[in-house]
Amino acid sequence: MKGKWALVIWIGLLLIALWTAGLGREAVLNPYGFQSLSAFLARAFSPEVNVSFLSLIAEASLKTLAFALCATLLALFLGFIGGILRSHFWWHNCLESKNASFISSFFGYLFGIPAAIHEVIWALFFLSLIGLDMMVGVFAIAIPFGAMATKVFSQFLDDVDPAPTNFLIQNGTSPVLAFFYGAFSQAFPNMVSYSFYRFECALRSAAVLGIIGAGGIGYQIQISLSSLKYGELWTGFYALILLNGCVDFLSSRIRKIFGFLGSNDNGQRKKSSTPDLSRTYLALVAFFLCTLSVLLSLWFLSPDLSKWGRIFTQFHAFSGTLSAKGIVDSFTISHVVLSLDTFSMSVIAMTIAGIFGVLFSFPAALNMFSANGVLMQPKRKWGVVLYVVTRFFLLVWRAIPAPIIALVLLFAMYPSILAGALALAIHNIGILGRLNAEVNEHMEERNARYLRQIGSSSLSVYLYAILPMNVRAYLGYVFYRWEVCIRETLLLGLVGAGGLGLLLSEEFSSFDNNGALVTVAVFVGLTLIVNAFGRRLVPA
Amino acid sequence: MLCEVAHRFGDKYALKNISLSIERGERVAIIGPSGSGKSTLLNLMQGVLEPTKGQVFLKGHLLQSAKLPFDIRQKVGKMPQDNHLVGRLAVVHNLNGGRLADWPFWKSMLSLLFPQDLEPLKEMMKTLGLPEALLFQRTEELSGGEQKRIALGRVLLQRADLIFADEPVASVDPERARSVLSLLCAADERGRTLVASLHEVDLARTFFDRIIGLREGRIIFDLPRNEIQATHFNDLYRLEDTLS
Repeated sequence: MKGKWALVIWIGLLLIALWTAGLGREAVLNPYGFQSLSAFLARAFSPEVNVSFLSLIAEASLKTLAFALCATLLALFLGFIGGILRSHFWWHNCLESKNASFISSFFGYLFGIPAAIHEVIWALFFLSLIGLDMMVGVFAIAIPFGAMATKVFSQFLDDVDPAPTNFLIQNGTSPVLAFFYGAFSQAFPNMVSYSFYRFECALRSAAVLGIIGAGGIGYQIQISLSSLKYGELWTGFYALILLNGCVDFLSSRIRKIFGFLGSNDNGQRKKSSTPDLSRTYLALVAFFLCTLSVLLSLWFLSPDLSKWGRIFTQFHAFSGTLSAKGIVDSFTISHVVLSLDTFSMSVIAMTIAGIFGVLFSFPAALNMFSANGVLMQPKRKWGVVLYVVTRFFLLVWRAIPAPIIALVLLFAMYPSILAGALALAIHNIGILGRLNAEVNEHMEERNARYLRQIGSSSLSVYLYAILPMNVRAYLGYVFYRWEVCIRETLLLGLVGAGGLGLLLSEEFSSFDNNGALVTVAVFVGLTLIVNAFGRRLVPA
Repeated sequence: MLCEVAHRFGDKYALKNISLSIERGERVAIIGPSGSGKSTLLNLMQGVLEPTKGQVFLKGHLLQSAKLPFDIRQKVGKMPQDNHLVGRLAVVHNLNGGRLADWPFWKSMLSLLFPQDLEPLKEMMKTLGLPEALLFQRTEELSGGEQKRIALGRVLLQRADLIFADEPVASVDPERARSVLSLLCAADERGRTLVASLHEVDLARTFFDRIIGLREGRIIFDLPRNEIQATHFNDLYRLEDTLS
């Protein structure tokens, strides 16, 4: 779609969303809650540091980490296989199929369904089938994350230069080998990068699953919040930030070791001094460490596998509570109204996050404002400070899950679509800011540096060299996040911010399985519509 | 063999009614000004492009009717203009690209982690005049000329009996160009057929025994080397002469 039409459509959607959210018609701020909010904020500098609580948080953090690690590796395995099946590249270039578009679209829709169902729903579903078990969280995260990874991995594969693979296919190499030598080798750095991003997401999701009782750090945060122990709450937040920060740091270090990124201060692509063979050994070491950590995680989580053996019997019993009449009767006009609320929440959130995610991405990119950065006058040093501060705030915003941000915001705001949208927006600014910063850091800098050298202003460099080159990637991430965001609206409903999530939480608490199934189906439908629509809005 | 082949990009014909046949063991140079259709002709011969009109046979197989069998593909080597190397992979893996079709699956997969059977590659690096140490260097870190030679090494390692080379010496200095063509033509001594597109008339006359002149999508001449006169080239490049 042409950019200007995408913009017009988005502005139209935003106006509808703001009207639906009742902006200007309903009270948003709760003046009575400011006291609680200030009490909460005041404890930011004096978190609970009691040794027994710290050891509790440490154990909960380890549990969350173990969840996230096992779930991520399972998700990446599913995502890799599914990503190949979902890619047009595999069918068209490797297998030379004439029906490549049809087959890849089929897999796209197939994997779209589990991806559209939020991990919380999967967790509630598994909990209802087998009861409380540590592997509930792992599977609940791995299934939707794996399905989501199929989409991103397939896009990475579809974006590689097809010429080397075509060359190998034409000289008689088998499709699988041509794929690994010609395409996978090109997509691998992006896949590694995305895998770490997914690991971060899994950490946040593992924390969220704690809120619904799956254990870990989210569970501790929930307990502290419900008992209004703000000091403990902040300790929990700092633990989450530390966990995310460590993964972030590890991710960038590993990618650097493998030579996957970076521009140096002169804007030249860094030539890796590490010969390729040693990178191979490093990959093997990384693989070994991953396997070891998964085994350790499984030992730590100590799953009860006998429960999982009964899953099919339990599923049969669960399906016995469903009836066609019950399902039909459960569908009401409120599903349509609440869908509009959910949709509006996501549109408002993504508009705010999209704008601020781009703005924050510049100070958060090392090649922009650092000394000799493309947007910095030479010899000015304050860019590094700006970089560190921005990166820290982005880390904080993305480390704390949106429902927890919403719970905090609800101190000072009435439960509403706007409160939910704001929580989602804050969380997504943290994510988009970082993703866009990576886009900035990986961009081809020659044009920008040329404009800089001939004396152009920073604004001109931005408008003529950076924006045209990166805008598609920024928008791609916004629409990708929109799909994730609409899933997260469900969680915000569970904490009272409205939309379909609120209805679903009521249906779960009243054991209305028919109603819950209809709401989940409506929600999946809405997510699939947003997926299809979002893809069309990305400018060609 | 090409029978009455034409190819069109949009409304513009890149090739018009081309018919030619190349025999086993021939060294054929296709020359002509930029945009004359050399690359299109080579791509049609290899089955990379499907002709708008006419038929192309490669080793007796009608190219557009079905996929070329894998055993035939293994015997056809290609040296594309843009090399088609994977920049992120080490040189060793790109060179192995020429041998994968001969290797068992697991040996190829394992070789991606632990490169196998390095002796022929070391020999090839010597033949190409490149230091052995480059084998484990990322290919994208090599110069354009070095990458061109790696692409050449890959096609030579393939042991193909027919090689298509699309401007194999473009962006290579004159001395290096001669060594690249010497290596390609040395392949011919082992009974291989070589079809290459070139810009350099002198090189075509030195290294090839049949020269096809192409201009504006038509064959202007198709003659053995010893029948080629200076007037043929003048006629072929007359537009350039006028401009200069």
